[in-house]
Amino acid sequence: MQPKLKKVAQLDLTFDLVLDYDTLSGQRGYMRLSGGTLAGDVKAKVLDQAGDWPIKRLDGALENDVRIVLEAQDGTTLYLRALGLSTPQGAGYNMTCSARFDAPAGRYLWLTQSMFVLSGELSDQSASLGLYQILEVEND
Amino acid sequence: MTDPLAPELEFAFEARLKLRPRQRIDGLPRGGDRLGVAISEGVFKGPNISGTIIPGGGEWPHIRTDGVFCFDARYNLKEDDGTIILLQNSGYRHASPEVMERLYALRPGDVVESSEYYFRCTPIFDVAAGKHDWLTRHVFIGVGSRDEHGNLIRYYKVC
Repeated sequence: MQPKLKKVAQLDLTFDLVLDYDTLSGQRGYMRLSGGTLAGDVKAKVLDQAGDWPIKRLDGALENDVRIVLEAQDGTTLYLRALGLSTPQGAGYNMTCSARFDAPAGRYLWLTQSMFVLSGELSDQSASLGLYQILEVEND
Repeated sequence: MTDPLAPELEFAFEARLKLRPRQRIDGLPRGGDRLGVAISEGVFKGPNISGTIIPGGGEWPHIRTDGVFCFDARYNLKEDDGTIILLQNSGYRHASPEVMERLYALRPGDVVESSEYYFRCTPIFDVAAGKHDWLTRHVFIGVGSRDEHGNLIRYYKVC
């Protein structure tokens, strides 16, 4: 089974609070979501909660730990969790995450039946990420 | 005969959280439901520590098929001296179906006695070395109660 990526949506996020503080477990952060949209095969807006709780590594990269609650166009609630790695790029980061959804039975059930990849750019103010579904493809 | 290993608890602090409206996902493929509850504000106070809860973060409990709420919370505290503390919490809330329903549908003025349900949690803290790093070297348990505005959780250090 050879995995294949299919872009299914674009996730754009904005942050209104960035914490960056030292702890005994490493340099921690919190990036609070203030809004955002998911546009594509699934259309949703970010509800004003959650965000990213990264650890900033000694090499400058971030280990991301993301939780997002979304409201789809028809009012359905969706929950997205992602773990990622962001490497410094210019003033921001190149961000790549594995992601998984919670969704109820119905038109969004497919979101719970694949793993996803989020990939794009992250800054202190925003993130712009492609959402890719990991499709399993039979080898020839 | 006394048990030399029996743990002793010492009150550490209590936290009052005001919660935003609940989001809900019914019928997860794993069974049960998911909630998303964001924190709008809060305060905490104990003999050696006090401050506010930074708005943002929250909890995303899984409601199991047996009706038990399994907490999964994380948010940041700001001590009055400016130190930021990460709190991650796991725990359980359960009661008879009738009491759980009353808790879920709390209206202004409604009170459900905390003796009617089990609401316990185990937090993990993270903070810089210094005055508050005892939080990172002890196990704690939290005993909670729910009212119309949010949660009141009293934390005890396991000595």
